[in-house]
Amino acid sequence: MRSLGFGRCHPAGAAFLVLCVATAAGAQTPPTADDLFDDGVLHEIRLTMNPRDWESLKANFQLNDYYPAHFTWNGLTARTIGIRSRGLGSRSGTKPGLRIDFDYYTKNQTFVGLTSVVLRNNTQDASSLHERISMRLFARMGVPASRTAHTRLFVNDQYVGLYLIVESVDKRFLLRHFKESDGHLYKFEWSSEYFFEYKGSDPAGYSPKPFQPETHEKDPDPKPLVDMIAAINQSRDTDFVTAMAPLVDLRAFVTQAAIENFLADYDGLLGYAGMNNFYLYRLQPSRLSTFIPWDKSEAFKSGVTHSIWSNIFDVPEWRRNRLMDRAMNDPDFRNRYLDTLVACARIASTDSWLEQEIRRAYAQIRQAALDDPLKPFSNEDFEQEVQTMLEFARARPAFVLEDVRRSR
Amino acid sequence: MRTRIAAGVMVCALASPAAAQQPDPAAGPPDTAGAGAPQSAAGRSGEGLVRLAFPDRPSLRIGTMLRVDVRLRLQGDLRRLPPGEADEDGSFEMTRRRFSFQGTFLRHFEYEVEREFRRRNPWRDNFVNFGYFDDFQIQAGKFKLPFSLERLTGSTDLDFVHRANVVDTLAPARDIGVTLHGRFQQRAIGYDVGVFRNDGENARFGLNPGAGRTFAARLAGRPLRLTPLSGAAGEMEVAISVTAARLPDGLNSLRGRTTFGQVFFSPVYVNGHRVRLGLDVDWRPGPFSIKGELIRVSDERLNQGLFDEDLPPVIAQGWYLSGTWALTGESKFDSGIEPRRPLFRGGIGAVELAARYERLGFGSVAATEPEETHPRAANLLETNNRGWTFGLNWYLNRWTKIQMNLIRESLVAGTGRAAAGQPAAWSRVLRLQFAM
Repeated sequence: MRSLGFGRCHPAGAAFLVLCVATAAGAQTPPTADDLFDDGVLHEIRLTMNPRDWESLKANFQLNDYYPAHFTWNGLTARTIGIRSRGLGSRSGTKPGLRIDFDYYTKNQTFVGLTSVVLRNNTQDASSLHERISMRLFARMGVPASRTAHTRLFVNDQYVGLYLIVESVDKRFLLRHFKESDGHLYKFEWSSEYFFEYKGSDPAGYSPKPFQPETHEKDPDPKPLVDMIAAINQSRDTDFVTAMAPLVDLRAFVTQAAIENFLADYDGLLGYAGMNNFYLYRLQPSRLSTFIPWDKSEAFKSGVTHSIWSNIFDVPEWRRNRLMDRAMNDPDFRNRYLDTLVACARIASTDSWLEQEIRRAYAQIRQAALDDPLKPFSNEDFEQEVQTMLEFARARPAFVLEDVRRSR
Repeated sequence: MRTRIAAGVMVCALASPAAAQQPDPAAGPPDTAGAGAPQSAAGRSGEGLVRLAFPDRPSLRIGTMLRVDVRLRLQGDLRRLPPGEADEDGSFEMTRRRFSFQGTFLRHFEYEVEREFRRRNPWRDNFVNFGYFDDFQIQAGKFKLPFSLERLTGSTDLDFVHRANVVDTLAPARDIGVTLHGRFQQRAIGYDVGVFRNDGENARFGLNPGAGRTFAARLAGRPLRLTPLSGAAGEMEVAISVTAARLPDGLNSLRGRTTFGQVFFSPVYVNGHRVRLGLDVDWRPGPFSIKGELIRVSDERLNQGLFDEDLPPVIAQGWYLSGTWALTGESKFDSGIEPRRPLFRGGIGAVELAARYERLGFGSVAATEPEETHPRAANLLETNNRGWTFGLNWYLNRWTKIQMNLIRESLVAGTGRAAAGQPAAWSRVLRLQFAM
């Protein structure tokens, strides 16, 4: 048998080998949040926790009780993170939606620079693709939106289903998009129908419900919020835009509303039951508030023929969003709304971008979705919903462009 | 409105009629049993089978068949707390409004029926004691488990406004059960052995059910009587106590709270046995008194790790040492001080100084693991609450007392170099008390 000792290697070959190893070692940089949200791969996340805690979390899924666990992704482990059940309509005791807080039990702990992520269970979306595709469109349209990527989730080495990793809207998110994070962030927590109407000067009428403080929790300072809503409702038509300028980023609001409409999302800013699924961020040091989209599981559901004026002009005045209603009376913002719809349609249809995104994601997650043991849908439901989305991607741009043309 | 009425009653009581303070030559020392052993007969308002008496409180007696004493206890606090404490601050609050009947029937049976005027858990001591034999008595009903000197002391007889935090947190308080108890060797040695449905109201909070069936025992005595150190030193009472119970699987450990309710140690997952051990000392030479207690609670954590492995027990332990000095020279009974010269009776009442130092800590022993705060951590981050209390007690007469306490508390988390604490916080409490 021949010896494989290095003593018989050629010196030049040995030097080459050393160079290759050194180069490979130098190229190994630690994973970042970009890697975690890389939707080019199907990730794998493993949670290790006491089995009784997992059962308790499922049994008490309506509660926000935290449980300790270890979180492992890509060979990295975050010890002793906190997980809890989350969601509103998507809450489930079978396949719970999860919030992961890396710093809940271990102060200042981060994971690839993040303090938390959401693992969305997609129990309201048979395709599991609505959120991911929607957030991709928001990002392409230049709107600050959470990054997402799919993952297989294992709890104590048992596959519990296909989940979507969703970037939390938190200080790190704000810093990335707005270059500052000292402002006041509110999450809109739906509890009853609300259309931005003025409910009096008492801040308690607006915060902590429905505008729940996510930063400055001990000093939420809702007064500027009240002033903003008062101005939305009480400013004169002639100086509405001027009055709004220092208080609300109207362009951001109209843009987000247009993208949600293109996506046939009936549960967003112009939702069927009032506003829902967004964050409001008041930048510092100004009093200007802007909007951030959240939870697009209901996107695509209104279908190809979802009117571009849905919940704007086709509902009684009292059910109209006050801000949208007044913005649409201004020619510039009405045009901006229509222009944004056109831009969405063009992006979606150019090189069949939207359809290709759906196909790419579908190919990536299909087996994991079919294997998902806890999903509340059948495999046929999954396949059918993906086909519906593909049809949407093909037909929606033309419908929207025609609707816009008629509205010009 | 109710609070205002109660406060009004208390103000009236504090200015209580001097005429009501007829000295009762037959009155014995005040109540000596925190668990509420009825007092002996005293003053009389008439002769015959049915008599009404007013020794320290209204009393109805039907021969030797039945005795019914009426007791009323009111306490109201005015607090000034540091910022951030959950409790109400700066306002007068009635903390106790208790009404009870106690006495004897059929000569050998003693009883107490006590109710607090509140909606939640209103029934306090409710028991019957059969005392035919002094050495072997049986008590059944709801009453305090025989554990901890200060827990067994009635709330109106405390040296301070609040019990020591270690007692308030770790001692079990009341539950339903039955005990065999007695005293022998000329009452120099006492024992108390019992079984209870659970391990006391103190261990139950929120969804935490506390431990299950609990066995409790207490042995108290004056060991120095057996040595050449007799006299005052011989009256030093030493007691050891133990409870043992089975804990249900879950987030059911004890929790650590500061005097005013700020949680500094949240419950962790436990499963197995809970064992309490207690040692207490009580010495009252003349106008002075010294008390101390050491309590340790160990909760097993079988199969409570993240990987379902056993974890080291969670340990809660603490101690206090307190002392009092009656400036006006009175000796101290179990129930406090009875002024020699009450207010409005030629004197100023009795004045007493008090001081206490206490520590209460939670943690576990798993030195090889990193200290963590989650409820399944092998090595729980050790967290300690330390406090000083300085007090001035003014006994206006035998029924009324004013207590002023200055409390300094601090929290320290972690051990060694990693220890970090909050700045010490000062609180002030003024208590007005009427107990009849």
